[in-house]
Amino acid sequence: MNTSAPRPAACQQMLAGIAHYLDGELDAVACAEVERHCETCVSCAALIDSLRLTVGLCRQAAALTLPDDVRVRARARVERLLGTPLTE
Amino acid sequence: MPAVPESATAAASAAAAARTKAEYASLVTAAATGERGAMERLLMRAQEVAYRFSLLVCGHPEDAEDVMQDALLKTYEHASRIADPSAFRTWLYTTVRNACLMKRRRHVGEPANFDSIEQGNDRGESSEGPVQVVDRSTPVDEQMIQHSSDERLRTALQSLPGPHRMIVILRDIEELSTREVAEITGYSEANVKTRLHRARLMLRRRLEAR
Ligand SMILES: [Zn+2]
Repeated sequence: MNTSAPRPAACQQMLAGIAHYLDGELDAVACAEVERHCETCVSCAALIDSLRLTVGLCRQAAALTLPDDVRVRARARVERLLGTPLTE
Repeated sequence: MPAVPESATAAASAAAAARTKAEYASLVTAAATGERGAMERLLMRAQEVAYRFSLLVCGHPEDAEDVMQDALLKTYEHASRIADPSAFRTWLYTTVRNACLMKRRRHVGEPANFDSIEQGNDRGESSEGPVQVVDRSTPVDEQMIQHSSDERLRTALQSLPGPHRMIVILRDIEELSTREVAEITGYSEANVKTRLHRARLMLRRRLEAR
């Protein structure tokens, strides 16, 4: 998709609401408008899809846990602070 | 290919975020009342937040251990005299953010790149090219990076201007609410929303560029 190409006025107007749409902040009527537009506009639909994918990728990164060596040191710090070995 | 309507995604995510916030509150309450296991989990979690923040937001994994140590001690102290458990999560991220900032300021001859996360600086917001926000001359712990999430995402995140990077990480990775992010960063909620949208657009472009 060529993101630098000028978008039709209908798209411009729709895109202003995309952020709210993605965060579930649009009311049902506005939501339906976005979805109706996307049924016929490939480029807006693609943009929304790819933004949703981007957010999804970020959400997965939240599962990032400590690497083993860092975790060992983190546990040791807790043990030192509490003065006894960890119970878990 | 039309977008699949998924307003449920946002609702589910808001629910997940609320759950985590409530989870933090009950964990800190249990820890405060002397539950040993809860205190251990809380202290580990504080260090995990500190680690991710150092690595992803600041792009300075070499600061992580110091920031973790700071988060550990402050959380331990704070948990023992907590007045409002529901405010704990915001407190933790604010504390970690400040520790990262202090750590950077202490570096001699530190380039101004990190300061960009604390100010509403508009450098690079309208430029198409990548914005240099990380000091590439800093030695980087390769092992930490390999273990950290998706390398592609991490690299793309590092190319965002500081404030945008911090906001997209807090909102979309850590799943804090707009209000919490506004509290932590000092931006207005409207500003957080605008920057988040811009950050997602930039991030998407960077991710698709490779
Ligand atoms: Zn369109």
